[in-house]
Amino acid sequence: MDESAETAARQALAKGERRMVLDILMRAYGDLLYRHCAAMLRDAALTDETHQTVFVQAWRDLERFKGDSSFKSWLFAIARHRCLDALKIRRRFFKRFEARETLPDGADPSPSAEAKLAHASLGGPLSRCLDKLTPEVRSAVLLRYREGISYTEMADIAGEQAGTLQRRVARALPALRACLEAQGVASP
Amino acid sequence: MKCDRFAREGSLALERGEPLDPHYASCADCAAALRAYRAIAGDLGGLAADAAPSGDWQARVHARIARERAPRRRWWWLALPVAAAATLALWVTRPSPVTLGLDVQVLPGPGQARAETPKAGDRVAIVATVGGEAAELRVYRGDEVLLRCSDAPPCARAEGRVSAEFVLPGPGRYRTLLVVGEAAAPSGGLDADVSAARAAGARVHLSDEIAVW
Ligand SMILES: [Zn+2]
Repeated sequence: MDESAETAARQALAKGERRMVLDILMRAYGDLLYRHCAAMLRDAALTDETHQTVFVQAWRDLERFKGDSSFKSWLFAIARHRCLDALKIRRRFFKRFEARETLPDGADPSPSAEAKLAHASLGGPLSRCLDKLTPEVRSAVLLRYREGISYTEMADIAGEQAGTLQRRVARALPALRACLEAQGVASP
Repeated sequence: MKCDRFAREGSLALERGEPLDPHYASCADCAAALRAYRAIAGDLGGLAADAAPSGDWQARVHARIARERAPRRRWWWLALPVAAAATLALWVTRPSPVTLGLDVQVLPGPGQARAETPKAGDRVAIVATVGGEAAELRVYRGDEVLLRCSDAPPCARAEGRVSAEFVLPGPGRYRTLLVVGEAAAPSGGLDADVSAARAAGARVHLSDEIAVW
């Protein structure tokens, strides 16, 4: 957590300087949240869109920010919702349309077409295995191990019991191991 | 037979921050599972480490906020079944012998009711009036070109009009661009493409944004 940014943002919020708060938060957490969304979504265009939406929503919700969590946790909670929504909408769309030929040429919304992955580190077997987890599980795994967020904080972010999240992650990693091995990636 | 005690119990103990009992060190299967667990946890930490937002993303956030604060246009009634071809805001940079036009309508997807706001699966019907001039239609999602055509499918050209239909694939901010005249290939995103087309002497129409959440 960026303590000086948290303090500066709190002071700006107390003065009603919403734009300044937003700028501070974008500077402090913009890259971090972008990478989190990129790992969740694995789709460069969808990541750009969702990431910006997180901060647009933060702007909208700032007035309701109570200050009982850090701005960082609060932003991660928004990002978690927006990423899960983005995945839900995309999945619904593919269910409806994947079997039809309604897509014009040049329209390729394929969710994990490797060509659309702008980020090299998301093309590997670990990413592909993460994709096989449900979005909720993937979210918990990434919050824990990509972001290094504690279960107490994660419970806040996800609005779930820490124990539930611990069980989810504890089951997911052995599943990832099995998936990696099935892809021919040897265990260390 | 392989011991799976680590996957059943050890991983949860680890996540709870509890000490691991000596079994996990002495049992070869569990020790391997524990090593793999730690390796995967480490690799997860480096995931997407090279990903970074575009240089102007903060400006884009501010632009979206500014647009949101402007009075919202109620757009959906444009989707009336009759081709009440209402022209969404466009700009014309130069007068033309033919009145150029770009009509963009959002229609519900198959079997879908019309919603208050556009959603994934809705169709976008595009009709551009271009007379006898060379013209190209493009649909952008952000800076990404999702559709690009002029005379051939998915575009159709007849009686001085170029039309196309497009299904909104998912969340995003979509804009339709009509380039009349010589169109350079898309390269650097919407704003850059508009400037390039103008610089090449083409006329450019840009539809309002269709936002899908
Ligand atoms: Zn064992």
